[in-house]
Amino acid sequence: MRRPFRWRTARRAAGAAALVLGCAAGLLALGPSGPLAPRAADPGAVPLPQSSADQLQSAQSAVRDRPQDPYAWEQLGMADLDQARLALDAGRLADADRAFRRSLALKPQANYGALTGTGMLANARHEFAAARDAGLRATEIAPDRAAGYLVLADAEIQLGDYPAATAATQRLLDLAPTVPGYTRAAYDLETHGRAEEARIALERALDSASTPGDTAFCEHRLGDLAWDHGQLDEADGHYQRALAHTPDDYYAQAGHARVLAANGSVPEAVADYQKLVSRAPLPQFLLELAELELARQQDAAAAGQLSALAAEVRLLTAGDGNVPADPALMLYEADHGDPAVAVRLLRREWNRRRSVLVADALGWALHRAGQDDEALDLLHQAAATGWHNPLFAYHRGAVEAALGRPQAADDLREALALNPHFSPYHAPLARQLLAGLPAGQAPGSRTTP
Amino acid sequence: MSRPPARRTRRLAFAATTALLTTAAMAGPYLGTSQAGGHFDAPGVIADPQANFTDIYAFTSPDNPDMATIIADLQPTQLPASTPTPVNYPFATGGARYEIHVDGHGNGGSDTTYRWTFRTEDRRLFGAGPIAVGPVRSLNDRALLFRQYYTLERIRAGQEPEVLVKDAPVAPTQQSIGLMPDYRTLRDQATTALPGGGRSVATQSAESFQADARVFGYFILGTAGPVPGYLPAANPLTAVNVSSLILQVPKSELALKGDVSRNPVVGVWATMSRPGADLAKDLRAQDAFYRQVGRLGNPHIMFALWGTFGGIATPGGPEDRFNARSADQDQYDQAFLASTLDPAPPHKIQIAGNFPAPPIPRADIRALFLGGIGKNNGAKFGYDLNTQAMNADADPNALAWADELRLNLSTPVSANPNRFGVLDGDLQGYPNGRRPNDMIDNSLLRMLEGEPGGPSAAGLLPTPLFDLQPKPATDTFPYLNVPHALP
Repeated sequence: MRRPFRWRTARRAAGAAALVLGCAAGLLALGPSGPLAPRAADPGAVPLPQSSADQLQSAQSAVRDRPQDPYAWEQLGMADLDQARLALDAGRLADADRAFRRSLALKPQANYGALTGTGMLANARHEFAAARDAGLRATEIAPDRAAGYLVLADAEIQLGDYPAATAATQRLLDLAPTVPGYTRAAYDLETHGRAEEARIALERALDSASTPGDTAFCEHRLGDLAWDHGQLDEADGHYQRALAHTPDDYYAQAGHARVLAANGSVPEAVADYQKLVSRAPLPQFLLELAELELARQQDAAAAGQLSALAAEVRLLTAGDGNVPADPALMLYEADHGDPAVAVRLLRREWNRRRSVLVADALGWALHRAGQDDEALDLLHQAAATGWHNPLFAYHRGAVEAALGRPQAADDLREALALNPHFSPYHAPLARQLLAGLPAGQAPGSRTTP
Repeated sequence: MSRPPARRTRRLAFAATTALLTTAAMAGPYLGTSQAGGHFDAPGVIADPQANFTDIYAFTSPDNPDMATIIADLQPTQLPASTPTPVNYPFATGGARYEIHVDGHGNGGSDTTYRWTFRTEDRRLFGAGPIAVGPVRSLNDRALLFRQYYTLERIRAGQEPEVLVKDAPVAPTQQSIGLMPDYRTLRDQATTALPGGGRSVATQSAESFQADARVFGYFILGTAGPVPGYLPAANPLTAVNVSSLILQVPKSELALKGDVSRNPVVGVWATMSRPGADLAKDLRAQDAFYRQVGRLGNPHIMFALWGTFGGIATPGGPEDRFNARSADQDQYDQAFLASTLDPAPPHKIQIAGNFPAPPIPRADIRALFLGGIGKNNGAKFGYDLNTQAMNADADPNALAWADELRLNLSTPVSANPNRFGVLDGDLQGYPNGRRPNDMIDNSLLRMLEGEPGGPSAAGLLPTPLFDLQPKPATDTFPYLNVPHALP
C-alpha cells in the first residue's frame, strides 16, 4: 500500500524535501550543540552556554555550510551582538546587522529571532525608537516569549517612558526570572531610587548566572551599585570577583581602577586605566582617566584622553545629525570642550528621548553654557524618578548654588554623602562649593518644597 | 611614584586609541550609556539551561518491584571534562525549585510533589576556577572546593511541605578520570535514604537517551534525513552527560490514597520554577512567588506535535506557552488541544511521499499525550492500560486533558524488555511510563502514523546497519551510567 503512494508523489516531494532539508540542516548542525537541539523540551532554551567566541565560531561555520538558512544567519547575528557586548567591539555590530538583514531577506515573515535581534542591535546603537518599534512588533506576534520584552524594556527606559519600561521589565521578569530579567529589573529599581532592592535583584540574577560573562556582568553591576553608595570595599570585592570570572570585563576593570584611585593608589589606577582605554576607548573610561589626571594637576597626561574625546565629538558633529549623542561624551564636551556644542547635541537627543540621563547631561551642559534657569528645570526633570545618583545630586546642587537657591547645600551634601569619591575631579569642587555657600544654609534648611 | 610615560609610548598609545575610536564611531555609538550605573547593555540570552529538562523516566524498579523510580534529566549535552579543561554544571540555587509532580486523580493537579532545592558551598577564591584541586576520593575530600547540598520535601496537596531530607550531598560534576577516578563511590556517598523507604540522588550521569536520527528527520522534514550531525540511527549523545534527579519511593507513596490496587495509575511530570518578583512592591518585604520556567511530562511532545523546536517554533503559537503553564491548565489552551488532534509530522511525511497521514481528528494522539491509554478515551489499543480513569478513587467526571507521563504501577516488570515498548507487546515499556532504555521516538513515530489503529509505519525505520547508542542503563539503582570523563 505504501509503495504506490510513495512513487506517486516522490518526484514532487523531492524538491520540497531538499529545500526543507537545507533549512533543517541549519537547525540541527549549529555547532557542537546543534545535533542535540531537538533534545530540548523548551523552544526557547536550546544550546548550552558556550564561550562567546565558540558560539561565534560555530555560528560562522553554520552560515558557511548553509547560506540559505535564515535561522543560521539569525544565530550568527546574535553571536555577533554578544561578542560586541562582551568585547566592547563595535565592529561586530555591523556584522550583526548584515546577518539579521540576510535572515530577514530569507524569511521575511514570522522571523521572531531576527526581529528581536534587530531590536537588540538598535538598542546597542542607541537608536531607541527603532528598538521600541521592533520590541512592540515582537511582543505583538509572540506575547508569551521573553526576548521581545527585553528589547522593549531596554528601549523604553532609555526613551524615558518609565511606566512602559517597568511594565516590559515586569513581563520579562515573569517569563525569564534569570539574568536578563533580573539585571533589567535592577536597573529599573535603581533608576527609581530603590537601590537596596536593586541589589537584591542583582543577587538573584547572579544566582541564575551560568556563564562566566553573565556572572561577571552581575558582579560588576553590584560593584557599581555599591560604588554609587560609597561602599568602596564592597564595590571592589565585586569587581575582583567579576575579573576572576572574566578578566576582560572592562566595566569591572574600570571599577577596580576607580576604587584604587579613591583609596589613594592613583599611579596604579592610572596604569590600569591606560591599559583599559587602549583596548576599550569608551567615552566613560576616557573621561574618568582624564579627570583623574586633571584632579592631580597632570594636565599634560590628560591631554591624550581629552584629544581622543574631542575627536569623537568631531566625528559626531561631522555626521548627518542623526547619530545619537552619548551623555558621557557630552559631559566631557560640557566640562572640557565647548558647552554650546554639548547643548546643541543634547537638545537634539532630548527631542528624541526623555531619559533622565539625557536630562541630567543637558541640564549640566546648559549650566556650563551659562543658562542656569533652564538648566535647573532639566536637572529637576532628571530627579523625577528619584534615582540616588551622586552625579545628578552634584549637578543639581552646583546649579542651585549658582542661582543662590537654598537647596544647594542639601543637594551637594547628598552627592558627597552618597559617595564622597564620586569623581576625583568634581567631588573636590563639590566640597569647595559647599564650603563657599553663605552661612545659614544649615542641613535641612530647605525652604521651598 | 610613577614616572611620566615616555613620549613615544604615549604617542603610540594615543594613535592606537584614535584608531579604535574611529572604528567605534564609524560603527555607531557604543553599547551602554557610558555613565556609571547607567549602562544597560545587560545580557540578552534568554536560554536557561539549568531549567531545561531533557527526559523524564518513570518505571517500576526492576530490582525492587514494590518501588517505583522517577528520573528527571536536565541540562543536556554536558561536555565531559578533562583535567586541563574543567567544567562544572551545578544545579540551580537561589531558591529555584525542581519538582516532580504526581497526579492520581487525572485532573492535571499535583496530588504529591517532590521538591528539591539546592544550595552551594563554594570554597574557591572569588568563586571561580576548577572545582577540584586534586584527586577527589570522597565527598568530604578537601580537594573538592565546590559542593552542593539539597533539601527534599514532599508536599501532599493542600498540606504543608514535609522535609524528607535536609542538606543531602550532591555528587559533583565529574572532573576527569584523574581527578575523580571512582565516580561510582562519590555517587554512592551521595545516595540518601528517605524516611519511609526509598532513596534519592542528585548526580551527573551519562546521557542515556536512545535516539534514532531518522525519526528526527521524519518529524522535521517528513523524510528520514540524512540529519546533519547524526549518522543514521547513531547518535552523538553517546559521549555527553546530563544532570539527574533520581527518586525511588514505595509505590504506595505515589498511588492515590496509598492504594496501588484500587488506584494503580499515576501521571508524573517535572517542573522547574524560579523566584519571581513584583516590581510594584518592595522586594525586601514581598513573599517569594515562583515562576515556572521549565516543564516536561511526555518526551518529545513538542517535537511530535509540531515537528519544531528552538528557533523554528511559530512565534505566538502554543509552544510559547507550554513551559510556563501548569498541567491543570492544559485543558484550557485550545490551540494546544487542537494540535494534539492534528499533529504536524504526519502531514509532512505525507507531503514528502513517505506515508499517508491518518484521518483527523486524532483522538488517539490526544489520548496518548493528555489522557493515557484507555478503552474509551480515543486511544486505539482497545484496552485500559494507564489512564487515571482506571483509578477507583478518581472522579471520572473530573478527568482533564493534561500532559503527563502516565504509569500503571501494577504492570509487572518485563522479563525481557522490548525497547519499543507497548507497541511491540511489552506492556511495561513506553508509553506506559518510560524506562531509560526505551526507544521512544520510534514508537512515537509509529503512533503518529496511526498505529495501532491503522497499518504499521514500522517500515519507515528499517533496522539500521549501524546502530551506535549510549551504553544501556542497568537494572539496579540508580540505573543510569556514571558520567563520561576524559583523562
